[in-house]
Amino acid sequence: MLGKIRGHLGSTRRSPAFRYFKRDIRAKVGLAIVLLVISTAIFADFIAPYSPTEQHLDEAEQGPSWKYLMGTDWAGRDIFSRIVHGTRYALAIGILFVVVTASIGVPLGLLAGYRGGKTDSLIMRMVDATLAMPGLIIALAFVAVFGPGLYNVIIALAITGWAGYARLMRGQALAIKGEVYIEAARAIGEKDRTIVARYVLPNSISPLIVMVTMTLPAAILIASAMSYLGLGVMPPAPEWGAMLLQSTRNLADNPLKSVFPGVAIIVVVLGFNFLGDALRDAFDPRLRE
Amino acid sequence: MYGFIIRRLLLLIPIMLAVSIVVFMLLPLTGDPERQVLLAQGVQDPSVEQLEAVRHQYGYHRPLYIQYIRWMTGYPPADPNENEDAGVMSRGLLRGDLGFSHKFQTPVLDKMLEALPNTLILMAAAFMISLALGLLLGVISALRRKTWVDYTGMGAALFGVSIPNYWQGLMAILIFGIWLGWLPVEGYHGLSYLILPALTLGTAQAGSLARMTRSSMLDVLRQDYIRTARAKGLRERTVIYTHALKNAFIPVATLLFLRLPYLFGGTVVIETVFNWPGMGTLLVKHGMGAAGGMGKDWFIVQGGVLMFLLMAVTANLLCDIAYAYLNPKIRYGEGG
Amino acid sequence: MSKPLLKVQGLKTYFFLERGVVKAVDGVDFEIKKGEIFGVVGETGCGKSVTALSILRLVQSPPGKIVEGKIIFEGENLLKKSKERMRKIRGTKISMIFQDPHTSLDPVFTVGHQIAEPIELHQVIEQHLISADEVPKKVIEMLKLVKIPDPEHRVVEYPHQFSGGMKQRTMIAMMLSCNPSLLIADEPTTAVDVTIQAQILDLMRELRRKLGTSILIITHNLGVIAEMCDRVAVMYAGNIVEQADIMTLFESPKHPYTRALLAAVPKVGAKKGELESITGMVPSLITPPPGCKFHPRCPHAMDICRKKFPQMIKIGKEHLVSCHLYSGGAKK
Repeated sequence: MLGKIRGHLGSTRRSPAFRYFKRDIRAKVGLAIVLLVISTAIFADFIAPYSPTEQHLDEAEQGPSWKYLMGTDWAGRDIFSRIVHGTRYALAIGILFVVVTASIGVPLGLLAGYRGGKTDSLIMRMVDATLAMPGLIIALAFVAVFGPGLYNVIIALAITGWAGYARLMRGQALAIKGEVYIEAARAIGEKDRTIVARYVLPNSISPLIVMVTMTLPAAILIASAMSYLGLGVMPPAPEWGAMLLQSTRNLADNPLKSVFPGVAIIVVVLGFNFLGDALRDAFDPRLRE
Repeated sequence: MYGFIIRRLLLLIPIMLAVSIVVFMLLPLTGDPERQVLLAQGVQDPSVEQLEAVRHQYGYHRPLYIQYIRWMTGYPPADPNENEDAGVMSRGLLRGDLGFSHKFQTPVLDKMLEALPNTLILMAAAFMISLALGLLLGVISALRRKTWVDYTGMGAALFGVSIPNYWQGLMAILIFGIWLGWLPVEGYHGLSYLILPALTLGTAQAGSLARMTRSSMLDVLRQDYIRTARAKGLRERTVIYTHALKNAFIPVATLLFLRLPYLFGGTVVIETVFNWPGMGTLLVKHGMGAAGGMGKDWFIVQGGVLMFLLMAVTANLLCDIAYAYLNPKIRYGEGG
Repeated sequence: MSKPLLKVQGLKTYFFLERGVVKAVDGVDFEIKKGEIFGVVGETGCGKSVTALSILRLVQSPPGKIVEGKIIFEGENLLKKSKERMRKIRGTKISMIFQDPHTSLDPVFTVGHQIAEPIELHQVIEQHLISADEVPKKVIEMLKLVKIPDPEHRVVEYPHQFSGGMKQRTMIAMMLSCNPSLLIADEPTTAVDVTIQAQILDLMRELRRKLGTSILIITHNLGVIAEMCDRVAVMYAGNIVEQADIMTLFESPKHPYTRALLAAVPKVGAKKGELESITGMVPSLITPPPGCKFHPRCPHAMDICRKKFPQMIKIGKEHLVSCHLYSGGAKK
């Protein structure tokens, strides 16, 4: 019986969700963008013609040319190279955020949903209160206290970011707890921890994937806003928000300098959002008709 | 219903307590509050004597829990024997004292009360814009499902959620302020100053609202009671705008309030972009010393964060009450 | 009985899905006389509910579409009417109650509001039969008619404060408020408790007697058919396979499917192990079997059944059957 369940889980490639996903144009576009961004991040050193921090002070504030595809900033740094290297920051922020928040939120949510009772109501009180808080403002305050930088930004956003994962997984655990095969597993004497790890978690994979693809771009957006305010990743790091912080000092004189990082953010975020939307619809049978 | 509200209000007590502790801890967490205070006063390299004097003046030598109780209530009062200065010490949060801003040489509360109305105006305007735009786009897209109207609307909405808000503001400044010269882009000296920041903030929120409205509306249109309404021979506009919309609006209203924290965050960013004289600019620029502000002022940071957290808690409370009001199942009877 | 109130001819309603075209209703003919209770019985997915929805033109479109046929009601083809004319017929001339009373009432409006809606729109605004002041009185009258206790107070309550049986009776009150000549009841008792079922059926019979409303009952439950109907049609995979008055159908069923259906009903006093079931599976409505759609499951299937669709033939006064066993051309 248990083997059959596992066999069931392995058959997702032939599931209607997968077929629906494959046909969805958003999935194709989203996947293409995401893969492009990932490979840009990996091969940034080969793609970028210059180092992202290399200064050419005598060639500062130039418009686009063959030498500097997107022009140069106030210190004569190549904007194109900085945009290319910026993918690393965007992905690092997105991935780290998801990993940190999920590894806090998922166990807490599973615990709340699976245990129920007092554990549940305590955790959910915390989740509700956290979700009601303005995450960006708390993150800004955190960075103001502990100083800027990539890792502090991640921690700052994780203070409120875990709650969404906890709520999602609690719902999943509650729903799956009542299934017959869980009762069967319990009846044959499997430990709670084994049941959660082997059945509850794998069965929650699809909503979890959707959640990841939706929170990842949101984290990129918020982190870039923090950098733009000067309370995130600090210049001269080639982070797009930080680049915008510097470029907008003379917005009117060299507007293109402010356009490129913004467009880069939009493309990345849009890519993940396309993917997230397609996944959500594919996993939601009501929308599939 | 009243029982529900009272229960909900009682639940506020622990939350408020937690909020106050978080806000209080901001300054001690910096590790050296006396240095921070001196920095705000413009003393870059304080001597040991100066630090020691401020430590006692503000009572930072006391244990944290005494400091917290004092910060909240004003008790125990300043002790002259310990060189504590009643003049700089807060008279207690519960009595409405948020401390003294060295930057502005005024009580923080005065500064807050000056900025708060501007923030509320901006948020209200943005909220209206997002509500009108989001509901309209969402409902129309749902009714014209899988047509070009739907695809265009939802494409625009997705674009709206994917665009960095502050960058949208920058581009608005560039296009409408600098190139076209139609609208002012900095500060707040009249209604025309409101247009760009409110539109920027409003359209950003409208995107997610439209997406929520559409899916909620589609959900409702599938319901049996909609078929019943049609079987009764009701006019299509009654079916849509009375039965479907009222039902679809319940989850949207909840989400709308639940998303208010995002609106607060968005306000902080947009205010800074447009140098809007509100809470956000006060907090980020003057409090945290970022975005062109000179130096930090921790009492402003504390006051600003506290104000936003209080607004979030209030919004959450209103959300629950509004939800209960809209949903007869909770308004009457067992639930809640 | 007099001339037919409703006449359905060659009705075909298809659903155009990405997977293919679902021929939910694939050529259906029947008629309902004035004051008659007519039943349509069949398994889930045989197209009986879609037939009912087609009459009111309430089939979800897209993906559903009525592709062929005529629905003649009081001498006029409903399929030729404008949307607005059709809307005015709903609720006034033909109305419909649904399977699940729990989800069929709008949760955010009071029961009274929902009953008042059709009265206000049709009788006050469109037909000027009564004045707006009389609506509340009429609403309470309707609630009394369907035996809701204490209607003056319950009228301001919300659906969730009503029990399942009361909700279904509210639906009936709402749908009968404008004196329709035809009431379509789609599985009216499936979602309520067994004890409530009898009450609902009694109520419908009583209302037929009092108001003279014709009723079309859609159900999978032969018990309901036996208890309620004057005549009955048996549907299978989008077609009517047999049609007869109630006595004939139960006493001398002709179509193998009807027989199987009747045999599958558990009988009181039957010995253990005698419960019969129909072998095989309900056919796909996208690619139905050629010829007679029942032939893969039919114990009497012949060569011709695989090739030729059996025409409906008359074998008794009110008795029609669509089966090669009874057509002259077929050899036994």
